[in-house]
Amino acid sequence: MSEQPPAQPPIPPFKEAVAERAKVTRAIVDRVLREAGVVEEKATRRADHLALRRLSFSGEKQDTHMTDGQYTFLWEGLAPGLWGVLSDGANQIGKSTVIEVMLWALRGRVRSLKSEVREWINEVELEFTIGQELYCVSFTDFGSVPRGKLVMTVPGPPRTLDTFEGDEAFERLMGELMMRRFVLQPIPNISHMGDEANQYFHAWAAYAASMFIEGSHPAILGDVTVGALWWRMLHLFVGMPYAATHMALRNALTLEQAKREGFGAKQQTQRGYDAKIKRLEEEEKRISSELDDLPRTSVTSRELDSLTKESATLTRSVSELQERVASAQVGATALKAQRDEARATLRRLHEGAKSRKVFAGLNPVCCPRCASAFPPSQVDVEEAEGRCAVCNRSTLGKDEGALQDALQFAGERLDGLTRAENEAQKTLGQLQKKLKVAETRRTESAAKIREVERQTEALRSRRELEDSAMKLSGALDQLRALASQDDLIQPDAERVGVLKAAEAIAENRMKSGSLDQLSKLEAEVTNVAQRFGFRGLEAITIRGNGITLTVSGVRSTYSKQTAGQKLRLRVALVTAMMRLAHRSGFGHHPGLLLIDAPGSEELSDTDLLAMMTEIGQVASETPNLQVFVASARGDVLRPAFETANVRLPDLKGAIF
Amino acid sequence: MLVLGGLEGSIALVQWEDDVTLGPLAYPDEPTRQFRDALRLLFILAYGGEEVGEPPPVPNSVRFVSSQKRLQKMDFWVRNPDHLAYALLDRYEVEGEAAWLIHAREILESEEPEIRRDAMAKYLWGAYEPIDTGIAPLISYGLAQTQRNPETRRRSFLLLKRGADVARQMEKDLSEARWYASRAALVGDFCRGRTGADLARMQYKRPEYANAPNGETIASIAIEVRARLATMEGRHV
Repeated sequence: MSEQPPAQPPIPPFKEAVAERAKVTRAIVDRVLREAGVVEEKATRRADHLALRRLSFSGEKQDTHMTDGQYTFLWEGLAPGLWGVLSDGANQIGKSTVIEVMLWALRGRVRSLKSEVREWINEVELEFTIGQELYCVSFTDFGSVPRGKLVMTVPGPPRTLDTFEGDEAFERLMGELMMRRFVLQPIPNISHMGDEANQYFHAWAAYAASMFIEGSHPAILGDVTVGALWWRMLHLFVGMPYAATHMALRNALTLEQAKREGFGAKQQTQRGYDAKIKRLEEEEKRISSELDDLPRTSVTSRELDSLTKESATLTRSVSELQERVASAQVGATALKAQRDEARATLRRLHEGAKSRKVFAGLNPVCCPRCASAFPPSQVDVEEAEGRCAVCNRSTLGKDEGALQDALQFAGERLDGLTRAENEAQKTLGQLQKKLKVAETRRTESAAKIREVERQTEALRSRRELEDSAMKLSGALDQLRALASQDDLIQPDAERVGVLKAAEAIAENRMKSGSLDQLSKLEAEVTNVAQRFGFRGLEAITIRGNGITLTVSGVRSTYSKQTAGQKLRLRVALVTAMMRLAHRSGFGHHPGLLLIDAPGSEELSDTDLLAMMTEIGQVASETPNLQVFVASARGDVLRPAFETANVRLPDLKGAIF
Repeated sequence: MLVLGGLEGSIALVQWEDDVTLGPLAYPDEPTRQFRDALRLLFILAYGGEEVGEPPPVPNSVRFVSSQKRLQKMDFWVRNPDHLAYALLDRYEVEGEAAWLIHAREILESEEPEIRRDAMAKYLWGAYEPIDTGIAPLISYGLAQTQRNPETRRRSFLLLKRGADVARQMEKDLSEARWYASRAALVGDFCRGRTGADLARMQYKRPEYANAPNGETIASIAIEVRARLATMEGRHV
């Protein structure tokens, strides 16, 4: 049932086109694409679909208040078509658990299985087919550690593909199988963290999420809304030409771009480091030269102490000596004054004595009082009797003795004072000499201290400088370490050129090659959605930047649709893909849909039943589609299912 | 400690340690004082006095000093060469007559201010010591005479011819007397033409003189006058 491709001249080999466009050799294109991990698609995959065949799980329920105890759930004879796990209005009876266990076993990772429910599950076994192959994944789950194996039973003989222990190993194993079997490319994406850009991959878990539909979701496909993942998955599910190549190239370019930006940032940081290092190095040089210029000091603090003490002692002794000199000077001056006075006294005495002698040679002629003349006889009496001719005093002889006494006394006094003054002058001279010596020593000491202080200053400066130098050296080491950590990866202009050329060519080829398939898909989705009860839907346009709908002549978008319409569109998209794949024989979607609680989407009983009936109808028309529905509105939906395809609660009211 | 030997009685001990303390000193020149005073006054009259006119106010008088005040002032300058030097410098500054400066310099460059000083007490209006004791021998020996003006009650002091002869003889015989002759002549020249009141005003210019308490000796100004001369001569002391 494959369609004939339109007659067109074959396009040239991708790498050659890239080499031509990028103006590089083919070898360079090979290298760049290899380095970027870009693989050219050579062919699309024949559509094989996934179908669950048998599910069993067992364990022991606890604290349910009604159905505690060991259980085993077994659902056999599964095949493509519509299947339901229904209850009549009852919840919490295990409908969703069946769906969750299916998904768990298929992708190796639980989605939203409640942890207490997981506790009840001890063993799980799921048989499924992919195309003609039959697989069985079986594992135990004690303490939330899955341990099990994946066995390919058909074509026989059965062989264990691998065993696993732990969630990661389980997921890795299932991912490897599914990605390989459905030829799905990991979808690269870039995460930006600060300056860093890192590539990561959406793999099987993301693809598998597109098989699970729980009501309306912001994404039309899968459960990831960021990075237009639905659009990428759509391309890969549909098998659009060059889609994977284009994605890989787009990512390689983004990474390169990020690297380049990171390079810029790093370069700036590096330049910052370099400038800082240069500055610090200059500073270090300056300090080192300053250190060289500083006089080498040999001053110890003890020396400085002793010098300071010595200077203090000298200052004290100088000031003491100054005081002593001053007081000796005062003493000497006073002594000189006394000696002068003694000399004056002696002079006066001598003068007096001489005068007396002269006057004594004169005879009194009159009374000094009344000036009356003396008779000469009065003078004779003085000569004869030794009595004064004027006052008749009889002790004239004593005057000479008193004079001699006074003269001797004054002479001795002068001698004594002269000696004393000489002594004082001598002492003063000695003191002055001592003072001069002390002053000289003090001057020397002060000069020494000034020198030492200068040296101390130099020493302090040296220590400060050495300290700075040490800090600088530490800072430099750190900076150099930092700078060397950031080895710069120079973005390669050639690589960017090749990647850009390749991306442009891949995009071009993808677009031109996809256009036809995309328009077929759009028509099919429109058709299926209409059948599912999307009234008034006239056309759907699916593009990377969004899904546009024309409803009753009005253009709208997916995000503006009601929950019911979204549910219809989500189921319709996967259904349409499977229908196209069935018709063309090419496609990558596993063809399994797990729909949980569609009844909660504000759909009327009539609409819900109509939709589900139509899903059943479409599913029966689409041999590669298997749909499981879990719903508590079994009373409404029962007519949409074949009786054999429905699991109902047991007598205790539990699904398991 | 040094104790000056041989100095006892009224002479205080001079103690000498690191500093010098000097006790009060007595002036043991009293036994001859009146003769010395008489000598000085004789020479002031003989060399500082003015010639008497004709006829002499007193028979045989040759020179005179017109008042006791004037005689006291002249005596003060003879007894205090430092104060005289100060007055000489004042006169030099006013008159510009180099002779006064030369006299002042001679005094100040010698030890006169120290050795020739014969401290004088101040009483009420200036240097004043009763001069009667000094004058008495001159009168008794018939060398001088005093005369009181009946109107003014002022006493003038007259040198008699015999006094002039004795003074001349003393100047010849006694080296000590020669100094008095020349000094009295200088003071006489200095005071000539000035009243006792003028002279008192001149002496009062010095605070040491003006501010000395009554009855106390007028202090020496030797250091200051020497400094003044040095300043005048542009020298630093």
